[in-house]
This record gives sequence, C-alpha cells and structure tokens, in this order.
Amino acid sequence: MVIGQTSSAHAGDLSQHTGRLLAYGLLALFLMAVDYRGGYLDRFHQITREFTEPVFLVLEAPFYWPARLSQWFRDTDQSIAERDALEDQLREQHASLLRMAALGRENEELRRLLNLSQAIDDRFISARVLSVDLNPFSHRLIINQGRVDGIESSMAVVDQGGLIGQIDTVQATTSSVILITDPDHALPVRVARTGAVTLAYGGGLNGDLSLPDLPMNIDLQVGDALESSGLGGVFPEGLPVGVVNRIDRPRGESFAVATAEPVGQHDRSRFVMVLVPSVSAQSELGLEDDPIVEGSVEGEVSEGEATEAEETPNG
Amino acid sequence: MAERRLSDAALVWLTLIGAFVLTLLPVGELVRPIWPYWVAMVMIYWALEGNRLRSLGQAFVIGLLLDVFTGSLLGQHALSLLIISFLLERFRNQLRFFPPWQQALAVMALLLNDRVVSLWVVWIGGEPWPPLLWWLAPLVGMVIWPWLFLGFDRARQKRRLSS
Repeated sequence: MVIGQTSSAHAGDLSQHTGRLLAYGLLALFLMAVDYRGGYLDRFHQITREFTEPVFLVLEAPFYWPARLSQWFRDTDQSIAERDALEDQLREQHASLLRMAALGRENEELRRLLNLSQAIDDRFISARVLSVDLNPFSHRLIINQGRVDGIESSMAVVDQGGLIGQIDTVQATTSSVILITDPDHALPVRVARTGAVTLAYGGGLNGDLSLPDLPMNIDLQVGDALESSGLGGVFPEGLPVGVVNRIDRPRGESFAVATAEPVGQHDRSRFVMVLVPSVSAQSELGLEDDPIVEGSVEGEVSEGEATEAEETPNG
Repeated sequence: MAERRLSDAALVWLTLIGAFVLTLLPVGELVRPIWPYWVAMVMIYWALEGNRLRSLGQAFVIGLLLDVFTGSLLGQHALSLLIISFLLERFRNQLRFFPPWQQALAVMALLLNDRVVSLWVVWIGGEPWPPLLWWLAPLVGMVIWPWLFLGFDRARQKRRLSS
C-alpha cells in the first residue's frame, strides 16, 4: 500500500471538501437568515406544504383508523351509558343556551343604543388535530380541514379552553395552525377585570405567554384572566386566552413584566374549532387602528353597518 | 423472494424513508426531547459501511427535505447534516476500524453536533433554553447505534447470500 500517495491524494481531496463545506454551509446559513426574517419564503413554504400534505395524511392513517375501528366494535352498554351522559349534558347546555340567546338579544339592543356594530361571531368549523409531530420549536399543529372546507389564512383557532392560535398556511384538505406560544406571535389581549390592553407574546417551549411591556403602575394581579381584545382585527373580541401566573416589577426598569398560562390546551386537545369571521364581526377599535381591516371590510358590508364603519374612523 | 431484487440503492431509500417516518411519528411530549436523530444515524451508517450518501450535497438536500417536513427553520437540519457528513468524511478511515463501542461513542459525538446547531437556532429564535433532558438524545442515539448497525448489516448480508 502506497501510504504517502493516498494521504497526499486525501489531503487534496480534503481541501476541496472543505471548500464545498464552506459553500454549502454558507448557503444553509443564508437560507436560515432569509427564513428567519420572514416573508421571503412564504410562497416556498406554501408550495412545500402542498407536497407534504399527502405524506402527513398517510402517516396519520395508522393512528386514526384503529381508533375508529375500536369505536365500531365497542360494548353497546358502554355506548348507551355514554350517550345518556351526553344527552344530559346537551339538555343542560341547551337550557343555558336559551338564556344566552336572551342575553344575546339584549346585548344586541344595547349595542344598537350605544351605536356599536354587531360583534357576535358564531360560525365555526370543527377540526381534528393530525397525529403528525412536527419539530417542537416550530409551534405548529396540522389540522384536517383545509381550503375545500372553507378555511382561510389568519382565522382564529380555539379549543374547549380558549384561544390556541391562528391559521397559518392552508392546503387542500389540511391546514397548519401557528400557536400563540410561538415567540414570533403577538396577540392583542385585555385584562378581563380592568380592561387594560396589552400584547401577549409567545413564551416558546415552556408554553407560557409573556407580557413584557406593561406600565409599572398597572393594576394586575396573579389570577387575572386575559381575553383577546379584538385590536388588530385578526382575532374576535372576548375569547379567553390565559391566566396571569407571575408579575415582576423589576427595580430600575421602565416596564413591568408578567407571564400568563394559556387556557387552551393545545398540547392535549385532539379537536379544535376554527372561527369563521362574519364581516360584521370586526370590532370598531380594529377598524380605527388597522387600515388593512378597513379595506377588507369595505367589500361586502351590509348597508346599516357600512355607514357605521365609515363614520367611526372620523368620529 | 422480492428481497433478492432489493439493491443497496433501494435499501438506502427504504431506510431513509423509514427514518423520516420515525422522525414524524407522534411520540408524545415526554419522549420527544430524547428522540434520536434518525436521519443522521441512517446517513452515518451508509457513509461508513455502504460507501453511499457520502457527498456533502446529498447531506444538504436530505437536510433541506427534513426541514420542509418538520417545519423547522429552513437550513437548520441541512447545516447539521452537512457538518456531520464533513466530519464523517474527515475521520472515515479511523471510524471504520474502531471497535463497536468506540464507534458508538464517535456516533454520539457526531450527533452532538446537531444539538449544538439546534441550540444555536433556538438562541437566535428567542426561545427559552430547552430542558436538560434534551441533551440526552445523542446518548439515546449511541445506545441505538449498535442495533441499527447490526440490523442493517443483517439486511444487506441476507440479500447478498440469497442473490
């Protein structure tokens, strides 16, 4: 074996190799930077999601169908007992819904008296969360409803606890949800007790929301409930978001910092609901603040509300 | 007897697809942090023993695909596979003739690179530090490595014998 020869050949090979490593490495870094800045690769992500969709659906099948089959062959007694329990629950909820309907009418009347437009929003699409596990740092869920079901980008997503996120990209039969715990996600919230508004940012992996820019003298206590404020126009108003679990007023800093625990259980819920905004559901405040919302509202507003929508920004 | 027609190339594809499926498998919050880097392990095996998937370009493309599927920052897995592939090529002659336990240690060291790259991505992404458990993934990879190695060798040998 001619050791000298192989090693010199190896050395030449290696320097070439290092060059290629640098080239590919720089390309990877460039891609990461562009992706991190956001916006530039949206179209690319949209296209790749279309390609990954069938793969996700195939991977989902072995988790979904056995569960369905076991339901099929389940004990009749157990099913009847379960159905009875559900019927009871339905009756109770129906009774409370009747009260809600009365309250809704009253609310509508009061709003008319106060010259506010309708803000009640009751259309939703129910969806199942696919079992596919994405990278935990991506803070996304894949749900089994998509373009053909009427899902559109930036619709609000809730579970039985409260708000969990908004629709990010939409494919034919699935869509991806970006969670409110994503550090890039900012959510306009309101303290239910005092009505103070602020922004809640995602806290990342630990699952909390962070409220980093509160005034020092804000009236906020541990246990205060946060709800969506409707500012910005993406999320409807009044959805439960979280409960404040810690407040810091660091000395010498200009802002108080709080964290809140989200009430939506995105890591456990297997079913979620996507809220479909009705055009009239845009709140007044959103119209004032966000020119984009204003533009989107102008299209198909009914007569009564159109005048209101035009009046509000001026008055 | 379909096995007879399985070439090494087909086996590479099959194992890569298997690694992707394992990566996307819903394993739950507890196992997720220690879930090993399957794709890298498959790549290491083929580069060391099968003389395949050795070029940096292949590592880069596989990494990009993984980024697309897992929804991570585009280029993150590409970079970590690239680094692993480079180190593999650099130390290939030593790694190939290591005794199994030493090779497993080396594989752990290689997989550690991925953790460092993702830690860096986590840091620029403004995420909080991942739990300590998260550093266990390369260790789990090390424990799995000999079995993966033996299993792949068996699959290839059987094919060789039957052909």
